[in-house]
Amino acid sequence: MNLQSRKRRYFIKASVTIPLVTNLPWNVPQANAFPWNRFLVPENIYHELFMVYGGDANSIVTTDQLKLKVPEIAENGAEVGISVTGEKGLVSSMAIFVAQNPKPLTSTCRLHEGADLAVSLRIKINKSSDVYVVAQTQNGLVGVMSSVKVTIGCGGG
Amino acid sequence: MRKNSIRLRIANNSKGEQVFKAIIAHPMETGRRKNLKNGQIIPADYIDEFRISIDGEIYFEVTLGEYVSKNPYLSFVFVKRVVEAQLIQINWVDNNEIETSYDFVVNYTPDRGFSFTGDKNGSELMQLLPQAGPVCKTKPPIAVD
Repeated sequence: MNLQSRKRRYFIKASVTIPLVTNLPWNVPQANAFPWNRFLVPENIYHELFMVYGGDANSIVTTDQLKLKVPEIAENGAEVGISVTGEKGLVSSMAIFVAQNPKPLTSTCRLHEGADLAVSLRIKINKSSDVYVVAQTQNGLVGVMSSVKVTIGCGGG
Repeated sequence: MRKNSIRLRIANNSKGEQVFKAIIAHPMETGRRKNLKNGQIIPADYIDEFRISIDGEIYFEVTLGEYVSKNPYLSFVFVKRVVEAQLIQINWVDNNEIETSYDFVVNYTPDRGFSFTGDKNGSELMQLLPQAGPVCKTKPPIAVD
């Protein structure tokens, strides 16, 4: 085996293994942080946020009083369970956005007096995407974010 | 389940709160899918507004849309506890502006838990008697068409 073919073999081996190794940690959960800066929110989400909340959409803060529960990996994008809970008496309305859907605004919910935010429902997620939940409280808008990986079959992208 | 029928259940969760669970039979078409046989687009058909009121007072309003799954499942917590003989009114509106509404009266029996008698579109309510039928201790859901 001459040097050139050894180099070629090494190159082929590396080009197969390096992406495999670097792609592995994709199932590490991401922190539930909401990007407060409008330039960090995807344009379509910002547009819909503005449609729903007007100018307040510029001042969304991250909170731990709102909890979003979605699976990290969903095998069926047509039915992804999502549940949102808020602290007692804190939230008056809530909206769910899915970044990669053709229409990001998936569902909104208005709570009347004496109601608590503890809602769960099943939504469609087109492909692997970030899910944003924004809620209206007495202190302004708060938001949480989490990402969902939608796989086709087993371990696919 | 027929389209636009609903299945209700009220159960207690681990914190002792009342949890309301509902499944509505509905195709929730987005209007983007194609019929594979003739290549035509399946027209959009989804629930827009869903509302629950207890004793005439709106309690919970949710806007669903085309990106909520087929046969939407909703669950949420009742803070004011539901008691017997209260009237629960549920109504929802399609994207085609077809309204469906149900009136239910809450029944409670210790062995069967909560059950509901009622009818579609505000027709006369059934009598408030414990329902005849097999006693089922573990699963008290009642399907109403």
